[in-house]
Amino acid sequence: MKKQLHPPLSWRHALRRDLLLALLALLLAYTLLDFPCFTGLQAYRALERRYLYGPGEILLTAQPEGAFWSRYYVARSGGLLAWGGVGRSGPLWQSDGGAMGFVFEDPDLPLVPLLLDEDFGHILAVVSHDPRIVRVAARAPALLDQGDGFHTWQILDTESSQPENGCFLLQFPAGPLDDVPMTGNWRSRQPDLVLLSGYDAEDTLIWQSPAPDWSFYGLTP
Amino acid sequence: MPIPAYEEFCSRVCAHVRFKPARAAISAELTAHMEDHAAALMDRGLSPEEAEEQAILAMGDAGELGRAMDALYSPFWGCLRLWLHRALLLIVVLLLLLAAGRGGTALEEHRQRAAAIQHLEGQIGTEALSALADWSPGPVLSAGGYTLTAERAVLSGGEERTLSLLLRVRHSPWLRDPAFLRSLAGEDDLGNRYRGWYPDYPAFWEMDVSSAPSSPFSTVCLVEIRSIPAEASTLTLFYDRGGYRVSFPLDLKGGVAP
Repeated sequence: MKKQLHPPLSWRHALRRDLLLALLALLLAYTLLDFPCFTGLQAYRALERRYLYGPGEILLTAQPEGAFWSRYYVARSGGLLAWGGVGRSGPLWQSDGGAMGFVFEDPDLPLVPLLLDEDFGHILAVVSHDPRIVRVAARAPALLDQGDGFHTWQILDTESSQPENGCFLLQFPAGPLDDVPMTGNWRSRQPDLVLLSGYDAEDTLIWQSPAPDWSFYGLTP
Repeated sequence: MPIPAYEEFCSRVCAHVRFKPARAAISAELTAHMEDHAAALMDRGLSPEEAEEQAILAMGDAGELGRAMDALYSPFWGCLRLWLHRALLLIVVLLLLLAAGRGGTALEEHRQRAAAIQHLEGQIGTEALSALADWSPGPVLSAGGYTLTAERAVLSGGEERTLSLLLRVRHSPWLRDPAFLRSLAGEDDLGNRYRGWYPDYPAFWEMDVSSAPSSPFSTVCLVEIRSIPAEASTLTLFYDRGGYRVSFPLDLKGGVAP
């Protein structure tokens, strides 16, 4: 039986070859793009695994404007509250970037704050343990631009009445060049310079955090 | 050698096929079919000429077969598939070019990684010059997709000792930069705790962790624990976060007789 040494490919073979090419292209692209994730949640879960945390129960997902990370997650697992920020590059999410912070969850504390972004977006997440609390207000010292190039220390307020799974997201209305110091302890990264207040539906104060020491800024809470 | 009669039959069939790039594949397939048939006929005792003629006749009407082939290899799907193939080829070539372009950067990154690892290994090597014990503890931990191997442990110092531990962490490319290493803590058998970055423990700079990726699949990490009392005989390194509680003990004598 005589056969051509290199017969033209049948359509089935051509399809198989094209599929192989497509697979090769995908593999190459995935490697060249540095093993990205396809969703923010996937990137956050990778971040959790890199910190050997969780998988946590997601309490809040947020994409605040002006924030350092593209998306933030607040989660709970094993007596620890965690926040994680993940970065996006184009339509894909970075698998090896991001940052996480942890707070031991004290169930007796009505409001537990987590400092998400102090420098860029001035963002806090507050987990409420008191179901009566429907509104959370936060107050912090802030070095604000007066518009004429001068900055002065002032008291800045923000509030939120839209909790997600008992978690409030608060963002101070300050620009990226303004300074809103929320922590006096750079190691713990706890927002101990923020005065937190929780209110019920009748606008009655349910709980307030201990008054922070703002004497350094020449302010009184 | 192609048989002219087969070629002629194939060209009559292919004349009906509008999608020209498919003609070669059709001809090859028909020819192979006729050759097989003719070979079978010759086995039954027919002469080569008779077998060729019979094989062609068995294929039926060339026009009818050509129209059926034309329906099968429609120009629309044929063109689509052809352009798809070309696009795929182009993508692969572009990606390969991109990979080649990044080759230099990757090489530089590899050099930097190698230098960082060399630095870590150099640090432990310096400690080893005045070592009380120098040993290889081996595999110590496997958790959450990470496998930790203590490649080298060096105990140095006098009344207060320093333990330098070179860890290799194996992981998938999705778990690069094992961030938990930076939050490792230690506790000796006397109850002293060692921690670098944690608010709970007053000992602040008693533990230092530096790491460098060696590849997408592994990271090298140097853990240095200082101010260990000479009386301490074991030290347990641990990590405790929501969902995970991992630890591994190390014998501070390192197998060296006291």
